[in-house]
Amino acid sequence: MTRTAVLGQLLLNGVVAGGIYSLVAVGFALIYRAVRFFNFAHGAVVALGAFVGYAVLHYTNGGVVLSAFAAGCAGSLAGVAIDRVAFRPLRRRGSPALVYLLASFGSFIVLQSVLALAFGDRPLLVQAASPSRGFHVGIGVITATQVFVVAAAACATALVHVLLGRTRLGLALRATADDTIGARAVGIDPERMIAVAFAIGSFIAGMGGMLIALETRLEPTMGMPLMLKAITASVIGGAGSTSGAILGGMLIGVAENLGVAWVSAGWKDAIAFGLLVIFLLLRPSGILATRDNVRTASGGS
Amino acid sequence: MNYLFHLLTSCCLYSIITVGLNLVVGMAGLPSFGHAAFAAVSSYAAALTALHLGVSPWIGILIGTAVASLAGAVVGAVSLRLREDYLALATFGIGLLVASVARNWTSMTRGPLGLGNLPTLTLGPCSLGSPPAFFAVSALALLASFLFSYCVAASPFGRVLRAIREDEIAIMTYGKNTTRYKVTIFTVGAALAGLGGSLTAFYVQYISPDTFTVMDSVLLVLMVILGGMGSLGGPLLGAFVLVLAPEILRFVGLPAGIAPWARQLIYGALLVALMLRRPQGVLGRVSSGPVR
Repeated sequence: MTRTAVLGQLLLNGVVAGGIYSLVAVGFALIYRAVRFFNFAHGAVVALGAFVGYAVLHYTNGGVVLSAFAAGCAGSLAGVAIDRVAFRPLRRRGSPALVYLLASFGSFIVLQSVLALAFGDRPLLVQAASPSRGFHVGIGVITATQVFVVAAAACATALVHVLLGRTRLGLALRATADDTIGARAVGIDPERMIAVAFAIGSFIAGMGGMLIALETRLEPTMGMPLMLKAITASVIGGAGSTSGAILGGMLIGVAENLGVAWVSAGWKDAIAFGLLVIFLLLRPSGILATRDNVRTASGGS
Repeated sequence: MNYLFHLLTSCCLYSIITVGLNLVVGMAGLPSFGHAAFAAVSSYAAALTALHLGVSPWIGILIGTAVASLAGAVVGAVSLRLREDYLALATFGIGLLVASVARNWTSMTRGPLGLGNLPTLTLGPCSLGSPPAFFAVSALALLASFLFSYCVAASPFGRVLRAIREDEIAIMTYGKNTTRYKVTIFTVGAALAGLGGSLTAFYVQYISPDTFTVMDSVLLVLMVILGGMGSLGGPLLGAFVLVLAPEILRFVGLPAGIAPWARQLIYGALLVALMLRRPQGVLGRVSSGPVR
């Protein structure tokens, strides 16, 4: 293969990886908008979706679409349940940001270990998906599953956009995120809006987990790396912005895969987390900056 | 008997790191989620100088601690301007970066294989490699770290730090350069992590990217918080409980595939329960007002 052909294929791989990261990041951003903390538990919800999808695919004859839907529902339930049990009491008390962060980390660990205890910690392959035939699209080869994953990411984002921008529910969600007290004054229940954000965000996460499992494989620990990439995508794009999440996801997907042209594949994570650290230090509000003030009193801005 | 000394040594080594982390997280209120990275950097620096330059492990520990403090100063200087949750994320990201470099810079770190055959500590003609002897060394190091943290907490410097935690803007109006205070304590915390890290390297006589992972960073924060944020004895309590508790699980006789996950489940549930019931930890005091 020539240099250009290799770069073309790497670019294509990057777009697929970016699609996967975006899928996780969109739901993450939706939840961040509502609650204003990094919900690490989101990663475990992705893994839960993958396992539920896997189980439905194997024990029923429902096919991929039904199992993805079931995975989404399971994710949704888990997300809302985690919010009820772990975060809602903290909101009542008005806890500092660190407490939320640790509670979400704890929830992540609990859900991940429950998955490992229930399904075992050996990697599983989804039989239905492999082997998937590849076809040429000008600059390289892409498989049907990969097209499906990227298409699903695009659909999920489009739906979230329509929901946020064109519906009354979306308006209420945005109002709560921007000004909780103001939203309450006009009769919006912030707790209900937070539950809705968790339900939708975790649905996308669960469904995304199932689709990611089609493309790669399932492990209880698959959530953490995806979560970290989603957080990175979210910070790079602009925390809380759903379009920023897509932008950031695509950016790190492409950057880490194109990087393979120069350094070995082991450095992929270093490229992504290097971008995270660089952005946090130089432009912590991300590319599509929100009004969120991310510095301390002494830090300016 | 050696098993007992091994456990106690592990407790002491973890405690040295948590004593430092407590100064950062508990006293100054700066969430560092990448503290194990400083221990890792230090352990690699100590191991590499001992292996390639042939310096004595004692010098290796000094070099490791110095390198960790330098890393702490740099990380602190660039990241302490961030709001607390972004700071937590930035330090976590730096921890991931360090882990990734340790895994991939194979010409230097030998990657996942790790560095083995490290020399053990000696004192004159005697080797300090035996479990009771190394326990004595680590207990002394812990005592020194503890006394040091006591002095820091009792000093005017410590008082300003606690005040910054409660209300940074108020302290700025008194003309204090709060960033300098924060960077200093971050450096001190990293130095203690470095001391614990390089001691661990010479205790185990082997280090790899798995010796200090990002999950260890979270475990360290859990230790500090469980013991009690900002209390001096808290980090010791937290480290001892969380190092010894999994050992009890060992005697319950869970199957090998289940035990690590059962342990994780307990850690996670403990963390959530602690945040819900007692976010200031066992020995921690309730802060005067909501810290936001």
